[in-house]
Amino acid sequence: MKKISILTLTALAGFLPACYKDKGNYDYTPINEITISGLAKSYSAIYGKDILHIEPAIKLTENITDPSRLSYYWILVKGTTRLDTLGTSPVLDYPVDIAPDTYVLNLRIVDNATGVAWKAGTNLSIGTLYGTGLMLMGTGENGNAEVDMISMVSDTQVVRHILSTSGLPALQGPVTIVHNGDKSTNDNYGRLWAMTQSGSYFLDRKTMKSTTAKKFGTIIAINDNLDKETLTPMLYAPQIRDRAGNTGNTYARAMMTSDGNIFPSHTFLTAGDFYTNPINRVENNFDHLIKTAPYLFYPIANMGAVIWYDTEKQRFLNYASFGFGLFSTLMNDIAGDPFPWDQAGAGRTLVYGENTRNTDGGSTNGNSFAIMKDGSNNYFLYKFYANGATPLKRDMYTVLPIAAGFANADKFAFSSRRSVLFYTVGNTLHAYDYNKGFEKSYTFPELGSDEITMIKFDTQIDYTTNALYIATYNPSTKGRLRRYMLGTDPNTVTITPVERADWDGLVKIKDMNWRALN
Amino acid sequence: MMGYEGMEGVYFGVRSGPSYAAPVSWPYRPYTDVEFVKQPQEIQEMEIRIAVNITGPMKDYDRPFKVIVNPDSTTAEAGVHYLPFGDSFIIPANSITGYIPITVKRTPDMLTTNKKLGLKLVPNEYFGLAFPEWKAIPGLGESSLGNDTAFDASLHTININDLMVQPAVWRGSIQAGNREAGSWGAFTRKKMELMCSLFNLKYEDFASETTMTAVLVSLITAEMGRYLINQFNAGTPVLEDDGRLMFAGSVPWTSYIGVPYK
Repeated sequence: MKKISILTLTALAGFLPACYKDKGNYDYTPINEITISGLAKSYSAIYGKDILHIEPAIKLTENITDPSRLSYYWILVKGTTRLDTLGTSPVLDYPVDIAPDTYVLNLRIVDNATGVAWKAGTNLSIGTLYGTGLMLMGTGENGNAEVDMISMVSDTQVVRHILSTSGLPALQGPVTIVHNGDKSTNDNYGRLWAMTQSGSYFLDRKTMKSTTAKKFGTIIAINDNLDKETLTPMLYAPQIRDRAGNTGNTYARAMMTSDGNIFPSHTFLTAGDFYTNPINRVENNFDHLIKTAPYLFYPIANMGAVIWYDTEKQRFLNYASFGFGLFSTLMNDIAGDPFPWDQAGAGRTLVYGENTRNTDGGSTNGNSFAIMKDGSNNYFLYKFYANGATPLKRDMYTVLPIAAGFANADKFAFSSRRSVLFYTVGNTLHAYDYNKGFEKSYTFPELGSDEITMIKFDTQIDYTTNALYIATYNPSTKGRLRRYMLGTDPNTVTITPVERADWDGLVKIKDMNWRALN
Repeated sequence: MMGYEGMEGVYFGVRSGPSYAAPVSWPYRPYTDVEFVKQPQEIQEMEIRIAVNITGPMKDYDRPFKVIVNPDSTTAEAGVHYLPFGDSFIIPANSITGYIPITVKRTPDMLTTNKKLGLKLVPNEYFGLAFPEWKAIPGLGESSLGNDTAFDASLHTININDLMVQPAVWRGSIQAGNREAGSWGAFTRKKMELMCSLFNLKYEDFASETTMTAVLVSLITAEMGRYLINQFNAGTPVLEDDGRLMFAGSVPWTSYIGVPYK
């Protein structure tokens, strides 16, 4: 009832002015009128790459010779908020530098003689090339760490100089660039890290910009006596496991820093991508943080636990209690096991580690491999399933002397599909089939003599095809990335280049990671 | 239009309310709370300003008003808990509000007791007492602001203390039978001080979720539990004042308020 009476009153109030006698002046003078047409209903452009070009048709009812009589404003609007003026000339040429999002863009033309303004609007959608593709961390031409990306948002195209234009100071010693796979648009969950030996920082996921304030120390809550300022992440787990960007655990995460500490997170309990005290310690010597080797072993498809390697006592330790565990645990060795977790008796040390989608022994979510070495320069491969509180040892392989130059190998890559380990010695690519009783060794001179800077099997985009990515470098064509398929004939090892999967002019690639979205 | 007709008087114009509400919507209060616990430890004294408003027209000259310490409602001692502050203050020219500046001091006895300083406005040649019976607008903000509906606006009490009360963010509770529960159990000053020392925190850090983040709560819960267990195992259990074992995190014991552990 009340509503109706208010409406009635309002309506009446509207009629009242009609009772006034109109004493207005009707001697009108026509003014210049402006019509704006030729604007499309919407425009789209790519952040950091495109120049947004809009050329509207502007019609005037008067012939204006003085160009300063009209002012033009291209006004960017989000919702009801005016954000920015992108241009002040009749034709817009704007190098896109606004965060990827959808906007309204209004052209407002003011006739300065009369002060009257005319307006036309269009929708503007700013996309990003950074959404999907292969992120490459390496060394740029000036010797600093640099990031390129083979963007696969629409057409495949290379975006260069991402790190040097990120707003961060020059960084040295490239390590990796990695997205944590979190699809949340909340910046407290999803993070994308540029990791280098001289500092690791997280970047804005849409613009790839950053500042030195975006460092690990700001996202940890610890009471261990560590300097938050200097903690530099080198490794993130779990990795992305499929093309869509999913990872092996929704909540559990771990980050390893260059000083050999492992910080855990359980994003449900910590309400975001935040980390607590390191877990590279054991209960009976809690105050001592053990220096770890730079590997975290876990099944790629499901990271319920991580195994890490104690470089002080030469043993594997397990952390299987994300969310509440404060320390790691020793694992039992039983006589007759294929290999020991504790290397004290065997006298071996860790050389290299890698997680794969190898399923030998029923390891549905993927076996991990460790390359071990003893005091007599013998090499061994440990295969295990780092699955939860009771990990399973799958097998051990002795690397036979037929594996050419293995002692001098500096890069390794385990196939997920076959019993084959690729490695490089200098600039030569080798493969070793470790299948017991059928061991074979291969060399691949067809790669040429360019420096090999990275070999990596794909377990991130599509582990079923498990392509081998090989990065090389020479001073004239710069960094080059190629994708190869590993032959399936078990009697031999061949690699076949994949057509149109060959990019050059890149950074000198140190590592690459897949990014799916966000 | 008719002007103001009535007494030219003074009354205490102290308002307080929650931060989400505009200060002009806060109700008038017959008291001011000075809680030293919310200040950093190095703050040993503070000057507070008690507002006094007038009724009647503004004048283009300063007018004095008189205030005395009301012995009936005062437990604080001059020179100990507050500095003597005189009895005559000014309503400035062309103003409706004047202030009584009072310096209050933090003393050890405030850890356990609240000290009261009662103020009383006294009529003088310029001002009478405007609202000996202040009545708030009935119902206004009662539910959200906690009105003090009726009081004598010529009296004002300053509560000065250093009592530690449970802060805004406290992840613990007390269950049936006075059993401590949740991540942190019951709030005690002793537990709070232990937390602050173990994690390099301040009482103020517990004031909101902006400073007491979920990850920090997670850290405190885990590490407090570990610390208390370690102390127990080392034969130096951490006890509350009533002799019960301090409770936090994943300690294996159950603590009841008022029940010593042995």
